[in-house]
Amino acid sequence: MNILAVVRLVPDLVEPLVVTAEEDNLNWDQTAFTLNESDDHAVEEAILLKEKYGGHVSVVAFDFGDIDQVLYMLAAKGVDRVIKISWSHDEPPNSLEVARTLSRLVPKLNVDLVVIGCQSHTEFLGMAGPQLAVALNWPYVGVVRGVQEGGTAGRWTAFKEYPGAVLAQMEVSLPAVLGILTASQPPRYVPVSRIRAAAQSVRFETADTPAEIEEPPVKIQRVYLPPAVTHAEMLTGSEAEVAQRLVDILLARGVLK
Amino acid sequence: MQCGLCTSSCPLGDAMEYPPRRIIAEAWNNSLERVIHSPSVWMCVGCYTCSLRCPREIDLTDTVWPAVRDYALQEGIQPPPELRTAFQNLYLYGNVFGYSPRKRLDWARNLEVTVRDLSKSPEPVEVLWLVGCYPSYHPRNQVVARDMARILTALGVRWGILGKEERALGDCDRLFGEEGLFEMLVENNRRLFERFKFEKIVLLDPHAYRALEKFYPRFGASFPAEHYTTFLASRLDQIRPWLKKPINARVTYHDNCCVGRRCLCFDPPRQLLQAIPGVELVEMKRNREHALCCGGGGGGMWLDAFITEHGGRRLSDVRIQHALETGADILAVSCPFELSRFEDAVKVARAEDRLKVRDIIELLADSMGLGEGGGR
Ligand code: SF4
Ligand code: SF4
Repeated sequence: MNILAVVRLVPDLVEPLVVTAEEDNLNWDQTAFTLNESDDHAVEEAILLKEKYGGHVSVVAFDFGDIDQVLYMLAAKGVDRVIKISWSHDEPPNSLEVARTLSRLVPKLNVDLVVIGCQSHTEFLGMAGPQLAVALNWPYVGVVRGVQEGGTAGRWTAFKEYPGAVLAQMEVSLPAVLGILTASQPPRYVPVSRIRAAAQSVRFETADTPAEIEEPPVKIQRVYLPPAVTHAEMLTGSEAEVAQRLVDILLARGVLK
Repeated sequence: MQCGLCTSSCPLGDAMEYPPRRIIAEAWNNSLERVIHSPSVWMCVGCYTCSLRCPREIDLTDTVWPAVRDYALQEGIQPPPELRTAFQNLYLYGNVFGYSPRKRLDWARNLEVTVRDLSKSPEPVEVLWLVGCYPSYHPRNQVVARDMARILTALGVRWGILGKEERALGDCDRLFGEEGLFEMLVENNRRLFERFKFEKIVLLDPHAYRALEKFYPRFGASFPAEHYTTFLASRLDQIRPWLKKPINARVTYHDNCCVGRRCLCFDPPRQLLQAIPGVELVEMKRNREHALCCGGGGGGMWLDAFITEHGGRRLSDVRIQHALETGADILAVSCPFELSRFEDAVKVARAEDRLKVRDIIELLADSMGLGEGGGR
């Protein structure tokens, strides 16, 4: 099975976010980036599938920020092929740009399965996966927590999470796009010596120019940091009084019913 | 020789499926494969007791354990989750917490003494003070950092720090077999230190001191370094006239493993404490080279849940009982890990009203009329 995992960089919340003076966007110049968490899980699930059923894992990413370091790390984990798409902006591509660019690339790669994080905090509503599936005319299952072989008529099984702790087992015919929430096991740790070795040996391939969208269909009206709230109530008294007060607060806020 | 002294000396030896002696036996049998799949591989807390007591002077702590763990990591064995996170944070941000390097100087906000941030204005200094991750970020340890800044200034030392450019020196990662991560930190730090002019490096963290003193030179990174206890003890004549406020208390001192057992440096911290008027120094039943480890070294700081699950105890909880048995009012420490570990252990023992945990720096600063706890 040939799997393509899509990885995106998102603002690293370890650093404070800086908003432009016009309040129309983040100040991308001053933004540090990190690997989108659910994309990290998507790569892990792809590697797990390869280890279980054989095949190849490719990773594709837009080339900005410190993406090379991320790609070295993924190569050290077991990715076979690394493809970079040139990107000349400070701002990450939006979901439609991701989907349209990949919809041109994927047909050239002989891919059975595309995995992508089911959300990233730079996009609205986790749309990149569904938009890519629509553009490719492939089926899509999102919020997936694990994939395995063994559906009927050659289909594969994806485990999809629903609210209320419901886990659905869905059959999907390949090729397909899956939006991964978490991999079947946490993304593996690779020793730094392996990452450094990968940095010496990995060859990046470059793909077509990206599909840029001049006028995004969704326009941001205002970006601002949430106002800081500085209210804390210290609970005092005996253990029983503190416990009772805690119960009252939880009931009043609707946490307990 | 297989005398077994290492295993019988190990504070967690009884809880390890593969204690140190057995690891050596498995290595002889070419069956380390078994060891790396056992929880034992993550249970050594780097206390150096086995290394010190081995009659054949086999350096188990610094050599055998890191080699076994390196083998485990190379074989794809996953470290326990908290340790994995600490490694990742060190790799990405240069500190174990995963905090922004830009916040490294937060501890010095509103500090009344001048802080020379060499990353902003490089100038020659006598002491390059590596503040360390815990004193930079951990609120309780930030108090110690501020008191250290006040003491250095009062003594007229020309000191500077690296501000947001400072990164962890790496030690726990080396002990935990993450050689590649350690090498990366050494290379970055060597390039960083070489940019500045200083006479010596002073550190609060004994693990970092140990790494700089023993392991950095192997990578061509030799810098004169001192732990703060020896640095301040060598200036005791200068400090003494400042020590005016009595601290009327029984104080017991916990020898940290790196400066204590590993470097056999036991007197300087005691000299500092005994110079404080009013202090009555009492010893725990296990002291100096026989002191029981707090369990935080060698990455143990990020393995509490794992070691408690597999070992059935937190060593800091055991050690706090030794301190309580002395009837001391204050447990004095000289390692940033110990402050948080022992304060937790005091709470677990419900002994907050009997025993306070304080760094030697805080006690000195209080007696000098400079400390945050001393009513400046
Ligand atoms: S390593 Fe040293 S202490 Fe341990 S069994 Fe061998 S000789 Fe004895
Ligand atoms: S260093 Fe300490 S914890 Fe580790 S094996 Fe030796 S005695 Fe045990």
